[in-house]
Amino acid sequence: MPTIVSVDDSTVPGEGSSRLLLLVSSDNKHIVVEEDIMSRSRFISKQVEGFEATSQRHAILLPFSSFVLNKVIEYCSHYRGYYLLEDDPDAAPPGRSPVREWDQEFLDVDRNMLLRIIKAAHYLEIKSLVGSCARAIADMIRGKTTEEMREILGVENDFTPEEEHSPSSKCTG
Amino acid sequence: MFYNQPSPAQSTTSLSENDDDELLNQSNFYEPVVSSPATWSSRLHAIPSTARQPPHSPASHLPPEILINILKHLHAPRDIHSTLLVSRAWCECSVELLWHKPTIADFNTLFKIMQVLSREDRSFTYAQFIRRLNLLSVGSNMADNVFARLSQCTRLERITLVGCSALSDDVIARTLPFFPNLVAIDLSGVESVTDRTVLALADNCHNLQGINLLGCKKVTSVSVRALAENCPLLRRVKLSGLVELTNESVSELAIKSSLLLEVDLNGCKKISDQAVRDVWTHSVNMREMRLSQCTELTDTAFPAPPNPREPPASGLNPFPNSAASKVTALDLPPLRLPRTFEHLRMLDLTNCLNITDDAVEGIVQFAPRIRNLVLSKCNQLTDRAVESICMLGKHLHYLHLGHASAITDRSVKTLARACTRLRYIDLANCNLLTDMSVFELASLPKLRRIGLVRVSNLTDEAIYALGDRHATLERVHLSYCDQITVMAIHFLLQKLHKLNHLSLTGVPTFRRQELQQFCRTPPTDFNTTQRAQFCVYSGDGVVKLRRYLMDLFNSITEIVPTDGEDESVDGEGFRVYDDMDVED
Repeated sequence: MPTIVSVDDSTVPGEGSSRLLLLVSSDNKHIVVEEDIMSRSRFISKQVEGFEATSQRHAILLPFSSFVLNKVIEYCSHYRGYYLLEDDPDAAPPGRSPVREWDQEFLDVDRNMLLRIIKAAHYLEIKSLVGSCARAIADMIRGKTTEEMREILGVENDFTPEEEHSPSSKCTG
Repeated sequence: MFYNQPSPAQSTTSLSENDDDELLNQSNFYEPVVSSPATWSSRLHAIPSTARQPPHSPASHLPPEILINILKHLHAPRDIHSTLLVSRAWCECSVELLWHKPTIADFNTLFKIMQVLSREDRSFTYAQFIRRLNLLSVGSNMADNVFARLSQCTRLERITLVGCSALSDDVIARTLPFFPNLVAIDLSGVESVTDRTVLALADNCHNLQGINLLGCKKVTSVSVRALAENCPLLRRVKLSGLVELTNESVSELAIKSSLLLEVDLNGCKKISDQAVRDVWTHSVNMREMRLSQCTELTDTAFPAPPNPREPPASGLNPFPNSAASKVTALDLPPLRLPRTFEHLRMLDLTNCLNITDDAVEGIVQFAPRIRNLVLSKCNQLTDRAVESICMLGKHLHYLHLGHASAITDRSVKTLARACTRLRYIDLANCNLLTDMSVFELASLPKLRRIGLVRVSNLTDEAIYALGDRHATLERVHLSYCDQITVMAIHFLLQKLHKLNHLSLTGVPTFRRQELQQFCRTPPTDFNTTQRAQFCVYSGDGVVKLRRYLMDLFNSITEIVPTDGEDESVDGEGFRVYDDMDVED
């Protein structure tokens, strides 16, 4: 879990229209980012609300690396000020859309990175990014066999042999 | 815990999605309601087989919320089935998706599902995962004893029993109380249903939003009132063909169900003005109102125009029978509404014989955004009604004025210029109309379907005008337009490449074996004369007729010497085939 530490007022200027936030990654990199870029993250927004209540601004410690954090910031910067159908990504019209195409390109990363991004997005409560990552991961395993799915995502089979041959898993979908 | 990084993100716990648009038996997007992993049904399963260290791959400890989010993008049941066996954590997340809305292709599938549900050694309580059941394909094979066993599916939210005509009222009434979360039920055509079943719903399923009782003739106001009383979330209520239904129950629905979006009272013959007035007064969210065959309704059922006209002096009214409505009207004052019905999109008043131009004027004033307006067989309507309809402007897409025999070219011209987004218009039996109306309608840029049955003044000129709509027209109804020639139809077919329906029944020039050979077979209940006249082309039949007429046309023109112009392309769509048969 992240902890919140006080920082010097000089590090995070609290005046002006575009206030800055200090984010600290798990590899202890300090990243300064404009507050409204990160407003897509419900987690950050809630933190900021907390600052307003106590009139003290803090650094926000995050449990993932600066590599992942920068990627998330890139995403948030791209969609800065845009309304996304993030509450219901499935409601977006199927097929090609500029959002989906940009996201596909953006998420064209290796499997581990993709999984790290989706976890970070989930932690930060950025629904639209979770949705896009989920779609990208689903695309990777669609049409694959169980064994292929395990291989693609590196999941270990923890069923007992009896369970695996249990007929109860057979059902008509 | 299978993952070591608890997240602050909360799972959404809402189980029944807020249902907005498509409700009953619509196969909309797959919208899983699953938000948490399933629990194994026996303790033995629940203990992880070995307490080994989680492997290093990040996918092994994905929080279940994320996993579910990924899995729900796999729409194919076969893919979801593959994920089931990946690992225990995956299984917990996907099993519910797999069972959420089982596809029941036939009775056999249902039988297999019932077998799995009743197994002692199953890994999960599958019945609890089922949220939606559509038994349409089982239909009349659905038996009471099978249906009763569905009572295990206690988290069921939607059930479609369309055509399950063998089910008894008793078993339905006894089983429904097991579904307290029911949001929508479709009982269309389950004729055994009585008030007992509907009362069981009213007593147990307080979250009900949609109900379809099409043709459940035995249901009366008693149970519909109970529904109104107990189910405050009702949005779509379809009561078509409930011949016993009386005003009080509809009034009660209007007053109690403030979310009402759609009401279908087709053929509820006992419904009269008071009930419909209450709907106008209370159901401000109404989107679709179907009142066809409610023959008791008069103008009093509808909002009065804000500026009442002087009652027309009898000498001014060219259609004397329009006074009939005044006789049946009770002493209800004109209905004045404080606000407009902004959401109303669909209004069907087919065969509401008593309504006059005044009703149409009031409706259009208070529901300015109607998209579909069906006034077929409202035979008292005149040009004044059509002029009121013009106020709907670009909102109007679909208009049926069949049998409004008093309307003339004058109002149709205004209509075509005001309602420029009309896609579908039916003017069957408006027999004062002439080619002038069709010239105007042919300029509607989105026109897809035009019905001109028995508009007997029409000549080939009208048909040539329709050729202008080649980009959009798909269905053209010209039956009994008896002046139309084969040549004009040939021209139309060459122009309208999207055409997939053309009706020419009773057009004398088409009563020829060689032309009728491509039309559909007449309905079995037609008598010999009707069969002889029947001439409706659809789908492939249109294509074959087009081809036949083109060959015929080409063979005729070939006989006339034309400076070697044997293989030209004349305008758009005139393709000349090399292999044409030359006829004598």
